[in-house]
Amino acid sequence: MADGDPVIELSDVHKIYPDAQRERAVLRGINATFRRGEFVAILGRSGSGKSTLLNLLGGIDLPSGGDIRFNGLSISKLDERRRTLFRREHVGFVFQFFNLIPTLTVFENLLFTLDLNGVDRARAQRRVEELLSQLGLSDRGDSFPDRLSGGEQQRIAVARAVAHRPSLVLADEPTGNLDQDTEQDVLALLRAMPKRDHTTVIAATHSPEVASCADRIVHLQDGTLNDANS
Amino acid sequence: MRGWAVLAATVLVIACSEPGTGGAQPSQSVVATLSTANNAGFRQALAPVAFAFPRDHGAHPEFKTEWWYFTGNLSTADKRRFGYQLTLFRVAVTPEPPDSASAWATNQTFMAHFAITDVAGDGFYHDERFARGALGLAGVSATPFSAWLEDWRVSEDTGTAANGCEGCLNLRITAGNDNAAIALVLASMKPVVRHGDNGLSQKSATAGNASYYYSLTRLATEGTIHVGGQTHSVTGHSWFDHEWSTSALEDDQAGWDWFSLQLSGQVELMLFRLRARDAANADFVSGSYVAPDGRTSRLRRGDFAIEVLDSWTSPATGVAYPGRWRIRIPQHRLVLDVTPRIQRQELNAAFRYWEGAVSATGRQRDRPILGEGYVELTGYQ
Amino acid sequence: MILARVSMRNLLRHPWQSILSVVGIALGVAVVIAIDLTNESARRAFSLSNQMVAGQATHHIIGGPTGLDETLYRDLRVDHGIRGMWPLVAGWVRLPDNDDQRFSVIGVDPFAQTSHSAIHRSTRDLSPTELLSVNNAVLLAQDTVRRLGLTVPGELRVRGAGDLHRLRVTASVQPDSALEGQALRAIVITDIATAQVITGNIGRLTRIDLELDDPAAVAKIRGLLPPDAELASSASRGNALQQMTRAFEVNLTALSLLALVVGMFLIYNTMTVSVLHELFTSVTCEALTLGVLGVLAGIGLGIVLSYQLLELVAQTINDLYFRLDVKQVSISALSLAKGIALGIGATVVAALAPALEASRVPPQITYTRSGQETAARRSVGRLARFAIVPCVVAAALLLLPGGSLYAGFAGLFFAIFGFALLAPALLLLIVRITHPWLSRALGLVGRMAGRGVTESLSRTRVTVAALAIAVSATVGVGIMITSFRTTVEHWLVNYLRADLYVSASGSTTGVDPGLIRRVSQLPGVRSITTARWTKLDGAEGRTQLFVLDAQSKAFENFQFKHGDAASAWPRFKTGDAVIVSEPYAYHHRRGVGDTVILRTDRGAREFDIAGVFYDYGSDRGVVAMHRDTYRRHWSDPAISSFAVYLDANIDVDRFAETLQHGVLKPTDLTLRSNRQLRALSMEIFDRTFAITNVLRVLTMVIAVIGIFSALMSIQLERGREFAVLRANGFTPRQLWALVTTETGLLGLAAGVLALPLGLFLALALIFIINRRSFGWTMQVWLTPEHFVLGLTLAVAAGLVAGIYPALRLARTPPSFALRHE
Repeated sequence: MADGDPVIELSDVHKIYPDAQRERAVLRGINATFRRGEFVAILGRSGSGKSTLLNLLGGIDLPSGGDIRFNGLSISKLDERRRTLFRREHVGFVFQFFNLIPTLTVFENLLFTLDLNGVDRARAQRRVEELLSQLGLSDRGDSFPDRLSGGEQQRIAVARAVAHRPSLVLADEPTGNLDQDTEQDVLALLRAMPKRDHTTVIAATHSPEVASCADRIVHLQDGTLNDANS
Repeated sequence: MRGWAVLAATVLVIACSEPGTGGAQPSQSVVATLSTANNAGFRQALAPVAFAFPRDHGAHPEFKTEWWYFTGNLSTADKRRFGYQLTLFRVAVTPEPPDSASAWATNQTFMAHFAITDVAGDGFYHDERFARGALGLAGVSATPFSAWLEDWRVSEDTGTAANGCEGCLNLRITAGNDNAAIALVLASMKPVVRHGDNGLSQKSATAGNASYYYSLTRLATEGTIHVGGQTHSVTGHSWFDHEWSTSALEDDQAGWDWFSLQLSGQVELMLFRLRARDAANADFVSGSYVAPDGRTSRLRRGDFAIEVLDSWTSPATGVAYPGRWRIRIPQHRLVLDVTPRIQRQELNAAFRYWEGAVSATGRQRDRPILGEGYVELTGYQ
Repeated sequence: MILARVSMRNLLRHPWQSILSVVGIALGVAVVIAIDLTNESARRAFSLSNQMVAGQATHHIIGGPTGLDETLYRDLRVDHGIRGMWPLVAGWVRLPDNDDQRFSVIGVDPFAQTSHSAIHRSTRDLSPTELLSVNNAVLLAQDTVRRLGLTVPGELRVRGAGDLHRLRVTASVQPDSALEGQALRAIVITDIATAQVITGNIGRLTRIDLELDDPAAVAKIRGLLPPDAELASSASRGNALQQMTRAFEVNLTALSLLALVVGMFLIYNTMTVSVLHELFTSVTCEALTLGVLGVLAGIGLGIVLSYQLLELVAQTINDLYFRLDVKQVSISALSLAKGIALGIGATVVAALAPALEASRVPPQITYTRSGQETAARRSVGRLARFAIVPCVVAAALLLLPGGSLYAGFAGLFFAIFGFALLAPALLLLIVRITHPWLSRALGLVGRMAGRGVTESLSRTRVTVAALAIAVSATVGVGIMITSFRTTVEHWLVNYLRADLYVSASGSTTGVDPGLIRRVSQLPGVRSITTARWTKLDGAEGRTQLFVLDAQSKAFENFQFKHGDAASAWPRFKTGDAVIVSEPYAYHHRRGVGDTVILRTDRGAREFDIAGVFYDYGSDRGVVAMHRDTYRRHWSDPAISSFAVYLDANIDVDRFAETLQHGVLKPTDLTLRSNRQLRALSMEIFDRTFAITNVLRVLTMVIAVIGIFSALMSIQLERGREFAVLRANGFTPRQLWALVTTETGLLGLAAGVLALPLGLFLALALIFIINRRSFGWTMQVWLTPEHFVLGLTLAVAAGLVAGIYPALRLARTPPSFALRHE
């Protein structure tokens, strides 16, 4: 598989939330294709459905209509367990908050997805050490997340998202909680780390800083996706 | 005579009273339980019998009711006057005693009434008690004579020789409570008087509606009276009635007036009148006139007249009683005005009646005559 | 008002937690109220049945084992003019036509009715003609007439004093109140003469009641009494009887308070959650809201529960102390008020710590979980150091000689409090110890579980402490009961050495001496010992007297605590000495060389104590006396029971059958073999602890609700954390394993902590509480089952509490939790 091959394709994806009074259609017929190795920023106002779209892409949530195919595999038709395994193997997540598992050390947090993916202990440890040194946080491996600054935590989160070399990294407002300097650090990581493994990054954001790093920008508006270039 | 009231009273009291909290009013239903229907199995006073003493001072349990009645007018050396009454009533609830190993089992019940009249203090004290005739709690014995209910007691004074007259007794009486009490010594002065037909005292025209009735009409009395926190030494005369019977009042008899009078010149008089409920019926009257030598003449209808001169209404109960009387006995050329020592001598106990010390003044054969005694009035509403 | 609305909203934000807190408080309050109502009802029933007969009596003249000579009453009234007193003959009969029910017989003299008691009032319903003229006329309560299917007038057959009597029900009594009705339920009211005959008390009175208002009258009557009679005030006498059940009641109350304490942890826990969001007043306000709701629910529940418990308590009182007919719970405002005050008070106290915490720490810290956890972790050492204070107080209360029962229970509660303070430190220790093991066994999940416990220490410490306390109570009480039971079993084996026991208990008459002679002449009978059980009433209370004509051989059945059979025997047999049971010695603070004062037929007399023996038959104690001694001082030939020793070669069962169908046939005596009597004793023993077991279970239920509520809140709060796990590829099953491992670990920790505390409680109950309550010595029997059960219970409680949140979390799509950023 080469850069530019479609990794994930959406055709006529709908998402309707059954609200108390009436149904709320958040996504109304999304058609899009995300390609290997590209960094796509999804821009949109708060509540425009960015997070929902990311959840659908990551198989955390299911669409109300339409189809999502990952490398040709329809993930919206997978059962809960298979979707979990899909996420475990192919997707990395970076959230705005609560990224790290508070009961695990930084080292263990990075080990987490590798461990879940059954990477053998020695290789996994080497990978974690490598990631830590890339981040310049080798000395913090035994710390618990709550001992780290927000920027450090988020950098670890990015590292964890790519640790198992997934095909797709989904980032939901990855810098929403950070000051400007730190934001730059995290963005740099988010651009650099996936690239090594040709990982597709899809970041939902309303930050122009994030958008400026993107290979491609799409707008989510009124439940539909418009390519900014078109 | 006084017994019909008692008969009702005893049963009533046992049934409904709470002693010490004032008496319950007689209820007709309870009176109804005393109807003659309940008399089956008891002996009745049908014909005169020969009394024998001291045996007949004792109890006659084969009759339904019986009472021993002591009344007297007494005074201190400085003429402060008192009256007293002590009565022991016996009522048998069944003709036969129960068959039981318990000493408490009995068919005999007793009630006692006690009263003191303090004339100078316008005081009237009375009390009542009840006990079963078992375990020695209450009872009567003939030899030596003794009649008691708990610590109220009349007993023969065996230490002194009685007057040799028929049925004569020397007695000691102790009774009372913390407020009023008596301790008296009595000595018979005259032999027993048999009332009615040789002791058979008819109460109505119906056969068997009668009692056996005798009296010791004059007993010299001395001792002490305790009232109002003071003890007084007193002397005077007492009267003792003993009567036993089974049958009750006729339905149309409302109540009675009864007089026992001790007159100057050693004369005594007993009169009673059973009042007819309906004015159309005649009252049933009877009496005895006891001469100084003890000879008794029977007084029948037409032999005497009782005229009510005054009335008194009890402030406690609102009942109106006759308040003064004029008695005329033409054959003895006797006219007496009888006046209560004080009006307030109503026993407002479980059974309500008026029983009080009285004085009498009048004339006999144109000579002035004085007297004293007791009057009992029942059935007034 | 705004505050209240805020509180309400906060409570509604975690409805589960709030509901469970309310349930916890409600259960705690319910148990306290139920026990108090039950105790109160038993007391009320007792004093009412007393009062119903005694009325306004201020004093009683009481006699010896057979009561008073009836002529005393006559003498007082007739010779001494004493009024304001009324005689009483009491006894009992059985109703052969109504399942042989036992009825009390109260015989009164309606002529002496200066009393306003219910019984005396009721006799006024009898017309006097009926009372004295109808043979065996009796009165029954209206309900009783209905219950027995009788008519008025009608016949009631009773068996009393060994004979069948035909009683005539001539009237029925309408009780003034439901309570009075209850007191009258199994009572036959009759004339004193009839009562004497049907209860076999000819010539005797049970007692004479008096109403005396001045000391002079009291002194006068005292002066008039013969040596075998004594004047006692009703107050002291009633107290003395109620004293008998006091220790029993205190024990129940303490157990019920323990349930409330466990309930308190629930409130504490809920409030800790609330502290995250608010400040002192609103925390207090919230706690009060929960407290009031819990208390309200607790009142209703308590009343319902009290009906269930009453039967158990009444059974125990009847088994151990005195006959008490109580079927009706009397709802006393005081009991409810006590429950309400305790419930609200407990809530406030439980909420105080979190509320103070909220007011002390800077808001930004309060508002974060991690801040709270940091504070919690930091406080571990402080709390553990502070635990020394309650522990020292507890030790003082428990160990200082001469301490009271109340001090003993206070000591227990202090010890539990100290333990609660130590619990967090111990919890951390346990997690640290298990961590390597767990992480080896379960990898990441294992590591996360252990850390999860310590990470949420602010919640888990309370949960673990509450569960540990409840489990330790179960373990401690369990060990105590087992030890007690085993001690009693061993004692019985030694004590019951005869082959057969024939007893008049349940019979309306004593044992006929002629019958004993006949039995002793049967072939195979080696020897016979007779016994007489009687109660001596005195102004100072009631003494249980056990009179036996044992030979020196049978005397050796006694196991002496002080003194020995060999040296005590000659003095016991001929020297007017007695031996007393251990509880008697304890309660009266007597020992060998001291004396006991007993009221004989010739007045009070001192008897030397020649020994103190172990006895578990009566918790108030027994004085045992040789029959020869008894007969020298009391004219009471009655025999209550006799024991038959058979020759070794005799088949006991066959002999028993012959006896039952032969000599005993015409009697209503009860024949029991050694084995049956032992089984019966153990049955009564177990019945006695039925109520204890119920309370134990209730406390456990509250604790499980507590742990359920706490663990659920902890897990549900971590929804986002779990969502991240799920997003990153944690399967529902892995999540489930994580949650249950964590809660199971908490359960295990609680269980492990509960074991030493349970052992401590058991030892305190055995050596301090039981001694101070009853004066018994018992051997400690440690069997593994209580520990295993406690541990299993705790782990199971943890696992069960984890199942619901685990299932719920596993089912929740991670998007749901993530969406609510």
